[in-house]
Amino acid sequence: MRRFVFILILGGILAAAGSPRAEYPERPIVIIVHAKPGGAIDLTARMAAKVARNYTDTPLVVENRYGGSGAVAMRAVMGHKPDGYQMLAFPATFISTVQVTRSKIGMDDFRFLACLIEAPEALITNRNSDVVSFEDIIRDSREKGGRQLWVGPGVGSLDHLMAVKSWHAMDIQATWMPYDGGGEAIASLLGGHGTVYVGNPEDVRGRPDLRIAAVSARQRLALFPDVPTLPEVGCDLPDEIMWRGFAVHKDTPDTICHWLTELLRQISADPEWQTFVANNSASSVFYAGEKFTALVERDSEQSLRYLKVANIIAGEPDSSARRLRQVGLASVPLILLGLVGGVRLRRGPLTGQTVIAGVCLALAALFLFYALGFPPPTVGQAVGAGTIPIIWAVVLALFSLMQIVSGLRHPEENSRGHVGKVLFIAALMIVFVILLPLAGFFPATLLLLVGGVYAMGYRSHLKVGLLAAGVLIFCWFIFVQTLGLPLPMGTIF
Amino acid sequence: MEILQNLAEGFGTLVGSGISGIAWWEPTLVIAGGIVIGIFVGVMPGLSASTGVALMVPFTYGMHPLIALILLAAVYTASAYGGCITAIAINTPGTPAAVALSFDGYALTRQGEPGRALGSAVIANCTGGIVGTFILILFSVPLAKAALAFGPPEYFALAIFGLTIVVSMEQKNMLKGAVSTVLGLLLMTIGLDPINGYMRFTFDRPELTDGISFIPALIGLFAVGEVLLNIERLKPVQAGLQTFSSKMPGRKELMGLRRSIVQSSALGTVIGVVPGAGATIAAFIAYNEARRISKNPDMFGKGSLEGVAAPAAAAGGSVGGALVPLLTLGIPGSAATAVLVGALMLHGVTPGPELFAGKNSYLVYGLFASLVLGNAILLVLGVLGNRLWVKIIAAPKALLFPVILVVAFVGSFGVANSLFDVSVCLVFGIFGWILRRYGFPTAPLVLALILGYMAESNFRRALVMGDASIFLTRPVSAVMLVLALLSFSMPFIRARRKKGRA
Repeated sequence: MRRFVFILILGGILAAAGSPRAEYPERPIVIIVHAKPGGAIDLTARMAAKVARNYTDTPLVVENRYGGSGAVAMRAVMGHKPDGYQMLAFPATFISTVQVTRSKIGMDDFRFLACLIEAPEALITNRNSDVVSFEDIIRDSREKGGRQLWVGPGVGSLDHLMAVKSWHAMDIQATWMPYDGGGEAIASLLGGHGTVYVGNPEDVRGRPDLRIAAVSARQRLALFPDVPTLPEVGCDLPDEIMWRGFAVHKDTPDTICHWLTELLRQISADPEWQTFVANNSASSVFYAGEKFTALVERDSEQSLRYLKVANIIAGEPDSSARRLRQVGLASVPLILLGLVGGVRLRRGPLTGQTVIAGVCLALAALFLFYALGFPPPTVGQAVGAGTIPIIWAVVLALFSLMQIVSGLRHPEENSRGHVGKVLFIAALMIVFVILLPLAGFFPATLLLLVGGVYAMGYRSHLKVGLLAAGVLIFCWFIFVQTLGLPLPMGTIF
Repeated sequence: MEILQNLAEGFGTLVGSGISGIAWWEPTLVIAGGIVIGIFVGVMPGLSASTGVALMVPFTYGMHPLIALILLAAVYTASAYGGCITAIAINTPGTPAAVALSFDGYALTRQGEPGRALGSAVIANCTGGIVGTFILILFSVPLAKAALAFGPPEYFALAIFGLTIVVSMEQKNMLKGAVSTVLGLLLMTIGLDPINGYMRFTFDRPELTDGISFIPALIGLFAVGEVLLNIERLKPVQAGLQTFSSKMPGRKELMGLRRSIVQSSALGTVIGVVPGAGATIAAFIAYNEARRISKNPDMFGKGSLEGVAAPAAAAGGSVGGALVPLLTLGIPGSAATAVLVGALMLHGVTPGPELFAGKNSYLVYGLFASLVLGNAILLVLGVLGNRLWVKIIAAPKALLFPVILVVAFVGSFGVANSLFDVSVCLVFGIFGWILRRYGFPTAPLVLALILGYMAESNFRRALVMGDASIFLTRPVSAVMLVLALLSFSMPFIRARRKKGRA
């Protein structure tokens, strides 16, 4: 009998080990979005996730990872296992931002599944200004001699590139005035601060004061039959488009890519999806695999060319900038040592105030020398990348010196409290932050909570247990269950 | 009068069920639900109004557009108040706008009177919200026109004006305040250059491309720094003895706040109209102006009720203000209204001036009515909630502090789902403790973090538009810069005069 049970268990283990892996997908697929919730790309991803429910039982969840102008999101997908459970919502503007920020991310780090949305780039003007039509733009730019202002989101963004390309094709000179977002740039156009806004037809919806001067397309748009295309007005830019697609890690297995591509194809054909895209004055398309990759390659090549034309991509820091950086780095310990030595020499007390001011002084020196090596202002600009940091660094150095002098003359007394306890809690927090990605949120939090409570001298074990359990359950229910926050779950368990 | 008629119609739509498919009780219930969610979103540091609204968007897919709109607007309205609660209770502003409220609100809590602070905050906030709604209804068109006149030179002047508040805030220790301010300004230059796209001081960390994330830094400086400072100064005997009163401010006290509440509500609304300026700057300016008109300016920073009411009213008013450009121009006035645009688009409704005339005009008037109703509900819930908040404050510190730390770290993580931000929060927390331990105020640092980027990017943009004279040849920018100069020098002049007399 015992032997029989043993064989049964062994057989079970073997069967479990030998059985083919469960079929993809067996858990939710995460769509990584680089922008904040509510932006165009975020809504696109959320709509795709919603429509996908009609075609698969596997939920698609959107996760926003912003920062680094998209670099954080791209790195998240690149650093994840190539198992198809992380898909990147990929906007056209990534191509140039990667080049501008020199973030060492290449387009060959990704496998491009399918492009689902495209919209033509458009030059948009303010109806109530003197510059409305395409001809007005050319006339006005000649009058202003290069000082005509074109506005749009970001430096080296897709729209910025479109502006540079247009100036080239229109044979005019103008200046790009970047804003942090499309909305602010449109406000600037409406307020008469900028003259031309570079965007897409969706930007004029619901804004009767805006008018499209010309659009990059081969044929006039059905929704805007009066708007000329750029080729019509003698500007050879027939297919400048903004697109949105999806990509995965470059090493993702073929079968998984096919599965995802098929899902995206079904999404793109869904009536609800098509209404959503049409509501945004864009076109629903489906460019899969090679066609999408070719589009990315074309854009990368063009982007690099025009970023260089526009003098946006800075080269590596030259030798003098590198030397300045070394001086900056070296000045930090020198200043701190000099401060300690100077105070000791004068037999003054080294108070906390003085140390803080010294650290600020060292920081100011570090930033100052770095900023001195920044590229000089481009022609026609009074201030460059370094100007403002240099001003603040000098002012900070000045104030810090004054504080050091005043601190030496009138040393302040500080009341001493439970510094040991604070240092213990600080150490506990550092352990928490280190443990967070390794052990996961819940074990790390348990440690911080229980350790913190006991460190503060609380000794009612029952209450501590109840508190810890309550907080953890609350966090799980609210953050994980309700809000879908992707709290780290740890890698060692 | 036609407008008031429309508002009445809006109320009819909301509670009289003018629309088929919506039961008469549904809008009120949805608003109440939205208010509760909004308070929670505001209370959690890291969950800002915009994140809160965005997180609610998926729940609105199946809803009627009107219900979706009023739900999101209710969340937005209430999150402005939620941020005030934690600022008063534990000196941890749940939203950036509540920073200005923590100075006096937390001082009152330390004196054992959180009830008075919380009570005036909720009353001021709701008054601000209702004033803001009426300004939105009555003056949105001229206000939007004025907001458009705000170009880069004016934004720069506004940022500079905001920075001068530091001077009146830190009269005790001017030099340390100055070090703190400039340190914040310098740290704010980290990241992609706003005009050239050059990477500054990023030391090859991709997370720093967009600069130091402001919210985690704020949570660190306030929540974590405050906890550490409290642990250091904790006296075990006294901690058990302190009692907290949930007593509300009396009628007489409230009447005394009348002037600063009305002024701050209007200020908050008007500054809220300017896209990109927003609730935070409005709250700081309202705080400073309230001190200027106050009979007891010396009480500010030590537990002045006016110092609580003014920023709370401004934060409430800014909600209505931020809706002005959205409804009249189709441009979001704040991060949260930007999410509102996206949500409306999902429902096939394009926000903008055409909304007033077309078949969707009931949405606009329904929204107006829902804002008034929402603020009324918020007032009731806020007053009822006071006892609960005071109970939490009165919990043993040994239990409360670790929980605050956990919430601070979760909040920092939730801002962008980034572990790097958790480290930012930790570093700024320890940093904030050390600074405050040695008498360096952290409020100017925060103000610099808020305004530094706005000042630089608009200074640079203005210089793209023209030469340096542009700041003085444009009337609005010139007037604001003169005001800034006055606001900067007044405390010095006053101090000298006092000395001369003595």
